Amino acid sequence: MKKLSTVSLFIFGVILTAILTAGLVFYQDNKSNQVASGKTGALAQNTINKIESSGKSLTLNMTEIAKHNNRSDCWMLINGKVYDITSYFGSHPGGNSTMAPTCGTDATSAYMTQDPYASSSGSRSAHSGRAQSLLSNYYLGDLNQTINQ
Amino acid sequence: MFIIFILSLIPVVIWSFMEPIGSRFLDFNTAMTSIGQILGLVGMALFSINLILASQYKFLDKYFKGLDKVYLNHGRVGSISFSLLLFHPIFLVIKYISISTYDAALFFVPFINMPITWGILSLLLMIILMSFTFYIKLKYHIWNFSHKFMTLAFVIAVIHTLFISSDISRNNYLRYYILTLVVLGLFSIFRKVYLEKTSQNNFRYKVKNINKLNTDILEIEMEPLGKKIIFNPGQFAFFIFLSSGVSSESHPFSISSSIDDDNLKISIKNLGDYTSSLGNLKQGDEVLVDGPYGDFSYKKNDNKNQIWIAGGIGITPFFSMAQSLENEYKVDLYYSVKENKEAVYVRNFEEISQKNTNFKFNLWNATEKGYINSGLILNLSKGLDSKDIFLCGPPMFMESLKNQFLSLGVDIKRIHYENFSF
Repeated sequence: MKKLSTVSLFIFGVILTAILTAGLVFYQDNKSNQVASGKTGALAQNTINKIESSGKSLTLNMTEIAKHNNRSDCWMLINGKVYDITSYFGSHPGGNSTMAPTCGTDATSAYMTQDPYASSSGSRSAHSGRAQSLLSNYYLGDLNQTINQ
Repeated sequence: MFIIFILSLIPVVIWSFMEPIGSRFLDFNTAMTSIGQILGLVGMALFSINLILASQYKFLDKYFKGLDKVYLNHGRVGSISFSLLLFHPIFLVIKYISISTYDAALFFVPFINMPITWGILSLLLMIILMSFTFYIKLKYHIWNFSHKFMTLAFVIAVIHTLFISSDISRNNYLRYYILTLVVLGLFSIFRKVYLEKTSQNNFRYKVKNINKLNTDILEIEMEPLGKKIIFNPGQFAFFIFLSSGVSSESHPFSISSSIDDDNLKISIKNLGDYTSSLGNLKQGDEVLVDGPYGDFSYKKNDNKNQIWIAGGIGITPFFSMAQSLENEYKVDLYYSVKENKEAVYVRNFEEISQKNTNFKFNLWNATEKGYINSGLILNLSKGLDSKDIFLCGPPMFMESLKNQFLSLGVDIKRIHYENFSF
């Protein structure tokens, strides 16, 4: 049993060191790779490609957002930015059921309070900085921005 | 062990019936996250169970056929739980790696997200304490003290479990199941501490005589101050000596006196700081005795044809057993020592064997005759068929003999042993 613990501890140590070195020591490199504000999120690229290949222009307005209102196709507006978070389902620490009700809507208050119904505004905390950087990966564009002009 | 297995898998069953099982393994990242969550759940269930295993319950002593086996399983469950909990964050971080290694690294940095911080702190404490168990050799009483902080690591892990937004916070069944195990675990540990502090569960004795049996072995004879302990020959108990020269820790020792004696005797080999400090005991010092424990007794066995093999100080339970041996039992005792002067109670054993022809005593000097082995015993005892074998001695000694007997085709159920050095 000592062996099991030793092997686990060794693997844990190696992975942890690798991640911390890669992530923090090369922090500067990573920073430049980070999605800059106003640039499409890496994980939203598929959706963008689809829209672009359709050849039609598309405006990211509330009518358009409202069309993507379910788990298998979920857009939302947060702080004036439109996100396609479909591929994030299954990964949300708060579970899918906390995100699903806000698909196709302005989810700003839900996002800021971590409460899908924003019923107890202010009683809960805002999302973390990490969540913010995660979210940027799903960024499609700003509200009323038109793709394929 | 089977029950532990079932108890630890119940959360996985509850989890697998939860929404949204369909999308749990849809893609690589979510599958990894799901595995990470399962590892955390099972790890916590096992951690809770391990607190219960560490709590010296009498029912566990019976269920596992000896408290030594309970502690053996405590070690196993601890290692498994520790390993699962180490891999828990590793699987969870995978989805962040796919975003950026910077995000992944931040996952392991404390004080960014409080619930995660609790998890990091708990794991860190566990790593430190486990290295005291496996890699950094501490004096027993220091290690023992350090290991108590596992309860702290557990409490921090529970905070992590309850405050992190996860399946436990969303599913009531899962929440209550884990909470039940957690409460049982904490209750068990605090019950143990309470009983130790208040000595409610203990028999009270006082030191009557201290005999030096040889240069290394001390026999402590104790007289009951109240009710005397009722035990089976071969069982052991935990002793706390309330003496100025001895630290008041609880240590297990086999009882070497006969069940008919009013007084209780233990024979202790000087193996370390604590056992050597027992030389400071004085007549009249009070002793708290918690027991009896253990399943190592010839009487529990239907088979009356038995072979007893002792290595060194492992003779003590056999001494108690030999003194109260009933006539219908046929026993060959082999007592292996490195040199004759190391052997204790030789005259007593010889007397017993003179009175009882069914009891044969063989003193085995390993330096002169070589290590005792199963082949020699097979010849000297004229066969092993339908005989039960009792082993007590250093771990290597017992392990080696056990394997030798197994390779001679002896059924494992017929081999009884006690890991008295747990």
